[in-house]
Amino acid sequence: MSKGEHLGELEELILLTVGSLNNEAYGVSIMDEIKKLSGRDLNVSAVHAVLKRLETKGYLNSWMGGATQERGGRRKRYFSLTASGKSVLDYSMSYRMKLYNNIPDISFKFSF
Amino acid sequence: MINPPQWAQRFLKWYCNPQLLEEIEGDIYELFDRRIDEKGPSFARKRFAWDVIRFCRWSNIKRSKTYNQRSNSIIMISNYLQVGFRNITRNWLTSSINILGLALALGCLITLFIFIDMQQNMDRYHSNAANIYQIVNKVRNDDGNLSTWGDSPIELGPTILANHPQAVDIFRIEHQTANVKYEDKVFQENLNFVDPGYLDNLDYGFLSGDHKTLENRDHVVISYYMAEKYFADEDPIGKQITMKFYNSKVKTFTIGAVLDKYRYNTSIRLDFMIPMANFEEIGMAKKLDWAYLTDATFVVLQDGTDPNEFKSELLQYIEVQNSFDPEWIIEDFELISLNELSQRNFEINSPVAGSSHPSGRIALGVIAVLLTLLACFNYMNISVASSTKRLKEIALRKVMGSNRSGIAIQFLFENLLQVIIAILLGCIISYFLFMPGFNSVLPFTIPFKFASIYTMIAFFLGIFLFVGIISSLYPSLYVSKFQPVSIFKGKTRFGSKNLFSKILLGFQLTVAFITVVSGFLFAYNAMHLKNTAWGYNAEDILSVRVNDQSQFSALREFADHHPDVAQMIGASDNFTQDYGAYSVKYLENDIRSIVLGAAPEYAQLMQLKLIEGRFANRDLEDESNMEVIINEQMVSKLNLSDPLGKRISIDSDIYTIVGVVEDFQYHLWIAYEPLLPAMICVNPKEEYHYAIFKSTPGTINRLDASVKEYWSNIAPNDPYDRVIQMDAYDEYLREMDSNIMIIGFISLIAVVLASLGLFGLLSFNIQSRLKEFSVRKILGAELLQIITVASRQYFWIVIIAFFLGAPLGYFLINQMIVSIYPDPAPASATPFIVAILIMVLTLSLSIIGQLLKAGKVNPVENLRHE
Repeated sequence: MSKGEHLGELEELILLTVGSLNNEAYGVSIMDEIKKLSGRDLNVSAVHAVLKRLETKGYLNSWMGGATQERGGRRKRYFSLTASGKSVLDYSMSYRMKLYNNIPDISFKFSF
Repeated sequence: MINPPQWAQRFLKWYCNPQLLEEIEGDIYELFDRRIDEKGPSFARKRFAWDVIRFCRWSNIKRSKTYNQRSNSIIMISNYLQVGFRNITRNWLTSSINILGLALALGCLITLFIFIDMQQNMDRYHSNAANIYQIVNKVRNDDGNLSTWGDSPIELGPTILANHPQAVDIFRIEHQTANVKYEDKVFQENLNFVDPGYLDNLDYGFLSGDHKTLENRDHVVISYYMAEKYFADEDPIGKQITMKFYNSKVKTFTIGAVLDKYRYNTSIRLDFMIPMANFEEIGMAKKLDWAYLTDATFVVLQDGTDPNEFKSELLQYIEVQNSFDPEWIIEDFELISLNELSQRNFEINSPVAGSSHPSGRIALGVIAVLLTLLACFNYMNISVASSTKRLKEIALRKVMGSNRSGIAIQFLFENLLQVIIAILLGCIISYFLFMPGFNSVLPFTIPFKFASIYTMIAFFLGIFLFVGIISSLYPSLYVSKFQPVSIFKGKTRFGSKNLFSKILLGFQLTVAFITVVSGFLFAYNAMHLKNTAWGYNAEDILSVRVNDQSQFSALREFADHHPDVAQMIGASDNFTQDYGAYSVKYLENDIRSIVLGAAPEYAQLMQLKLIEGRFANRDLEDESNMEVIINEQMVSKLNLSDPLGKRISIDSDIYTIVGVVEDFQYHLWIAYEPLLPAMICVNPKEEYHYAIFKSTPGTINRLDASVKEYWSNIAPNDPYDRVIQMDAYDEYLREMDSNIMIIGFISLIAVVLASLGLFGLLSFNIQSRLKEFSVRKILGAELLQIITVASRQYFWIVIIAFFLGAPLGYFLINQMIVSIYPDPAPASATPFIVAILIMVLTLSLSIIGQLLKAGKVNPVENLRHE
């Protein structure tokens, strides 16, 4: 993995959320999901900025949804993971797990 | 229904990129609706506004439609620049030839431009220069043409000031000479009576004192140079100097002010400025009325006064002036602005400003432009040739959809890049190399400076466009023309067989031959004039000017007792110093002739070479039978078959010719005046003006020092005015040398440029024919044969260029030489031979390496197809 494909912390969080929302991911729903799971209060504009960045990096796909009665008939932009988005998540998860597993048990024994 | 704040909605619509507006608006409204339910309307409205503000980021902001296009072309241009730099570094040899050649020529152009610019803008630094005019007289010559005279009636200035309100001030300049004495220092000086307005209206800087000094009639203002000469380290202010005018009036003045060094662009440079009020008192003119002409009258006009209108008011004075002096009838006045004075100086008789004739400037300008053209053609040729390597790139780009203009623009960019580098390098070369070099042969120093910032901008923009268009446009258009099909098929080849490039090379070489041949002819002529035999032996001769009999007798006494004096005689004239021109008559013939009078030993002392007869006899001072020796010129001009014993006459005096000597150089600026018939007659003691010493060999300087010391005792109030005959020509010889240097240098640049051009073209030609040479070699060609094949076409260009350039150069320089020098060197083949040798040598030196490379080509390297 080259340096340019490195994921930031917020980027990784949003990428994960998009994956977990499974085709229902758009600005507000992503914001809500993060609030619900991690308690982080993000501004929706920050979510939009990261989404756009991830899309240009090629980790996300997007499309406009159909018009509904909500939000004055304005359409939503939905996001989903691309294959490379999935693989970059896999990679980052796997090295986190590897590192996590390397933590010796002894460290926990101090905390009883 | 609760609505979000109006301004926030409008603001969002205003800044937001329309492509993103829908999703962003959607999310904000969704949150807004939810917050109304959860936290109430006012909270929701505040958060709505906050969200709108937070969304206002660079990435969401609307761009103008042209933005994308512009950024595209910026990317394109930076791309071109990068490719350009890569090409420069990849072909560093040709690029550096290109850039260096152009930079050399531009360095010359910049240097000469600064020089010409300075001369065109003399005196403009005076803040009121536009309102200051010199009033000049127009007088009809004998030949019917109007000539302009700087002199004007001394009464004109004050009359104008009294009667014409438009004239704010006037100042006059009256030139005189006097012996100036301060303590033991006595020199003969040029000094000027000026009105106080001279310093009020001109912006000369002061080292000490101020412009009011001239209002005190006992004060003088001196220049920086005079302060150094007379006072060295002392403070001159308040010191007394005594002036002895030529009518023997003596007056003592106090130094009131010292001017700063004159700026390089000052044309009126006075050394002593004496208040005009003294002029009448000193009484050098019998009567100061309209008949007395002073050297210059300047008038300072009110802002906005039309000089022509003002002049028409002055016409009434023509009659007044002419009634006072019917011998000197003027027809018109003219007002010449101070701004133009030095440029028009050459057409004014007896001017107060010093400046050179414009022909020199024009010649230099033409040379500079020629050199630049030479370099541009050089550039064009090499630039076209070097594109050979990039034919496939051009073709590929065309196939990919680029059109001709796109390719032309790319090549234009690359070429202009090199032109810019060359201009910068040219500035550096000019600043560090040419300008100091040029200054070292000039009598003054020019700073690296333009007359104004606008001139500078216009100049550099001008050369950028001129050089850029000439040298870049053609190559770009030329290479962008090719069809991809013919390139890929290998049909298109250029550079080697291009007639146009041959013509350009031919032109370069022709110009080079012109400059080299004319340069050598000029240098040959200058050397000839420099080495012209003086016709006498100036070694160990010291001539001292004496003012009266008693001084001469005192020096005679001194000479009798001084061990270093071999001989001492008197003379009323002396070579390089003093001689008269008279009409000499023999039978019906009447010729203008130089006449020198001296003691009878003069001719012997100067070691004139006797052809026949004898020198004049020392005892004969009989009025009725005066003896004279004449030069060869006079013999031939008077058609004397047997000159000895013939009698010639000047007015009523009759002289008998007793000897004929070889021509001798009685004048100083040998080259500029023709040598006239000359005679040396015997003059009585009473008329001696010079004491001429011949020292024992090698002691001349010691003798000079002791005569000087002795002089300050016998004549403390007269300057020690002497010439060491050997050094009399120094300035003349130096001017000849600097002429040789300048012209030699220009020829050198032309040769270098032409060599670079030939080298560049040849090396490309060889490069593209390496395979051909390899095949020839395999088939048995010798080194010499390959060299012949490689250089044959250029050989013919050189020959043709020589036969065009050499006669043209000869013709041009001959015109110039004949118009400047009346006695040029006799025609000779030497300069031609030297010029040819130099050209052949430099040209072959520049290409020999490339030819050997062609000859030593390794067939395996070039023919292997892998």
